[in-house]
Amino acid sequence: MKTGGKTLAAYSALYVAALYAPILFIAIFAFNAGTTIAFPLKGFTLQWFSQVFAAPALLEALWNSVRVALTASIVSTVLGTLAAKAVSRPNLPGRAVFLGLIGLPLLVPGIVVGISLLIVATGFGLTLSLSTIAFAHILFCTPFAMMIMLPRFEGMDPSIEEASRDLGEGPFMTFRRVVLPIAAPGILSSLMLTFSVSLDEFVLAFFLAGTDSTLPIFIWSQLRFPNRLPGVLALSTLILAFSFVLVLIAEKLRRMGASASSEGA
Amino acid sequence: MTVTAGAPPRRPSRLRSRIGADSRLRGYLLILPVLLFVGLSLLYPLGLLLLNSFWRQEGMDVVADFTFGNYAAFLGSPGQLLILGKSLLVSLAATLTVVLFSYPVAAYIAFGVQKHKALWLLAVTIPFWTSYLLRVFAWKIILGYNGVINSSLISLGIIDKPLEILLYNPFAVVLTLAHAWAPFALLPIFISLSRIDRSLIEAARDLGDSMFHVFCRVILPLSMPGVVAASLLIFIPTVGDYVTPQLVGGTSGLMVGNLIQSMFGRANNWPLGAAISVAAMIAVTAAACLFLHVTSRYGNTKGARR
Amino acid sequence: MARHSVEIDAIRKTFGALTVLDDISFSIEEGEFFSLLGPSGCGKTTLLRLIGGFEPATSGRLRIDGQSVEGLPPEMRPTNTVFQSYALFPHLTVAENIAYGLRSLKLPKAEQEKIVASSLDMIRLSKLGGRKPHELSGGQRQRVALARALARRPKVLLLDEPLSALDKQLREEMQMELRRIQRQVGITFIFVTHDQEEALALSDRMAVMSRGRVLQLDTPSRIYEAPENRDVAAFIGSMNFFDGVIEAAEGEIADVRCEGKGLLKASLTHARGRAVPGSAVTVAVRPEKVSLGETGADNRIAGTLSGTAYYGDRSHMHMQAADGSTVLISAPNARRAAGGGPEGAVVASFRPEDAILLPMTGNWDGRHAA
Repeated sequence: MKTGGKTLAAYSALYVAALYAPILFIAIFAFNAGTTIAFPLKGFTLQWFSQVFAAPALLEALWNSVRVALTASIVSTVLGTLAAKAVSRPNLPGRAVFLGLIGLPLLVPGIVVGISLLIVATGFGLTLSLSTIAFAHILFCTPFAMMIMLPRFEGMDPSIEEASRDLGEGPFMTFRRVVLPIAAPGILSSLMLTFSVSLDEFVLAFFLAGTDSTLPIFIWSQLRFPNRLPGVLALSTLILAFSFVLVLIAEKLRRMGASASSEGA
Repeated sequence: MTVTAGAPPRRPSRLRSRIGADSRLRGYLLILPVLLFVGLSLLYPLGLLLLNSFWRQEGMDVVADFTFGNYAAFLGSPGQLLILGKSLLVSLAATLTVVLFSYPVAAYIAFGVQKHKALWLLAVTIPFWTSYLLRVFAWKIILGYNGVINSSLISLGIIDKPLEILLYNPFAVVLTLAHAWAPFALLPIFISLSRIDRSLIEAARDLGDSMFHVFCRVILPLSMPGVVAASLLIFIPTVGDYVTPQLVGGTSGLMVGNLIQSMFGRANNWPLGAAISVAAMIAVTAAACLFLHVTSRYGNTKGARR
Repeated sequence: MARHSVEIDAIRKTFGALTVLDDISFSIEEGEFFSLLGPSGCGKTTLLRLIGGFEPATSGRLRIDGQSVEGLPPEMRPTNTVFQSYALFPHLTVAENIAYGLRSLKLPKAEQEKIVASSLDMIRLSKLGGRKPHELSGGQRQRVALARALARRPKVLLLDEPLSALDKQLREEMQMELRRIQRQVGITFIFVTHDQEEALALSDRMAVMSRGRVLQLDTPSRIYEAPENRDVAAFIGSMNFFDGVIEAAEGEIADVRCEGKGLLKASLTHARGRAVPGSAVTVAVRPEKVSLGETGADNRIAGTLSGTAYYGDRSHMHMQAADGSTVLISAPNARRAAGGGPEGAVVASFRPEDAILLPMTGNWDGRHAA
């Protein structure tokens, strides 16, 4: 048992290391002076990073991505919060259907969602733009937001809201004075994580972008040119680092939210 | 509330008092906008996709004539059918790989880790939230002709010419998919494992089972719902994956996602692309139902849960 | 007579096919400490939630402080609630929790602060106003929940098993505290509990409920000493039941022929006029009113002692009567004694005025319980 446990621990550590190894290589070669991705390393350089911000196309894609991600994260968090609040009552009739329906965008392959929306957009004669991407990203991010918010609301004592009503506040003020403050860490966490999801989403954006570009589309377009690989690596490293920080903060908030939503008896 | 003596309190309107009193009604009101949005942005487009699959492409235009021609064309094309079949197999292989490799880790975090459980969970959750495209792209630089593995082996003197078999084949796709989707497997399995009442394990030990038998007779059956959820959560979306086969699959590793994309791109035959999408989704659903049917005997473990 | 604080009139509540409250009618007086006692699922919490406005009644009328509250949401009723889980707001401090309900009263700030300070004083937690709920002990949380509910000066305070989460010693302490605070503020308390000792100790009056009906509504001592039917008698404390047929009913005493126990005499107080010779009845007697050995009491049952359970302050003895039925006898251990006690063939005896005559089912006045 003792040795079995140790083997399991070692294996698990290896597993986690393997989880991170590939993205670690991206970071390593982003600082490599050589132009090809090959060992041995040729020395340390920051030149790829300085090149990243010299490309106007990239800055435009970055700005586009940020605008799309902001829209998607805010709207999907609102929708996800509403849905989570509604289904947090375990006895709501139709609960399983609602959960399945809202979670569907995670199960249907991105490409199918993408082409379906493409057909709708062309059917309506809409020009593909950042708006169509944002629309698709709201759809894609809402289940994530709901997943993040649901445990917050489920962990909340149902009597808490009744107590507020009992103490003279109507449904709206109860939401403002009790539900919202208790859910706040979760909401913030949802905003950050859905922002990250939208920022990184490629397939939907690829089909719905039209002439506009987002960060992942920009990276995709650069992959065709081997000589631009170091720049792509540097950009990828920056994106990954940003995601890491965002996710770390969001997960920290999520845990805070979890401990505050119950009285912690 | 405290009502000032004498004056009867003003009654809220009928509708407001119903909304105030009926929490079920409040629930429906809250979820209504979300359902409308999902209906409008997912169900309606999927419906239109289905409709499109019965239409006809004529030059640059889609003609709204009802026809089974697209399905007939797809079913009549061994090459395209092969791609769908291969997609299912590749996804299945990736799913099995992920579940097999992730289960012990989930078990370790659920049972073996005492102090830093949150840290372990965080470590496996972070990749879940980072760019899928970049995680797949990373494998391209690892397996590539001038990639990490080849250059390492060469500089170590093990080989003198880069191996070409690493990248651009179905195995590279399986490997990459398995790696990219690992967090999706680990979390559901972990959740179902951590819900197992510890005293059940102690009871099994007390009744004379070895740790191995406890695993086979108690832990594994009780964690099956998590395994099933994890499998479906990986299998269903990966069948239609586009990024991974495109980046690391090469021509032999192409999957149905790439086929669909080509119909909407170069081949410019939207109705056929729609038909292939519908056929792929039907195939995936059938496979998933088969899988659920096979594993359904593990479905009812409610009584054993905490 | 005091004014009615809460009037419950023909209240019914159903959830689908399930009837939770079945035609409940009674009134609670102003300033009364009133308990709803019953096993879980008897409808007592539902009745409390109906009064608080958390759920609508299926039919019937409900008046609080003389006014109909039909259609009024909780925030518009002159009631406040102490929840079973306390339901303290986890993101607010103790003082903020107590002040929560004062916002909608639109009191001046100074007035609000005064109320919070005096509330903290009342529950003896003046120093802990800045703490968060999770930094308090169970008993402290309970008191904050009480102070928060009382801060709005409700006409009626509703308490939903507020002491059930506390351990025994703390619970007894809080019972005293509750009683003290109720006397101090002088408002009506409606207290839901499944703990009969708690209800007996605290209440001015109490209603014993079962399966959506009120079995008996009375003072604690009458509920215990003069239960009106078998269900109440069986639910409160322990009780010996001896079924038999009345042979004679004259004056205060009825003679009841009981199979295997001979002739038993029981007081006719409730049953006068209804219990006539020939009717099937039950003689009920509390175990502590039965003595072991000859006491000169009129009722005697012979048997063999089959077991003894020692509880420290008292002992319970099981006596097997001639017909095989068991008679439960409870005796105080008034003197120190180590082990030993009566064994073998014994006689149990009790006085006719300590025995209650009950109908086989329902009440003497013809109402049928449950």
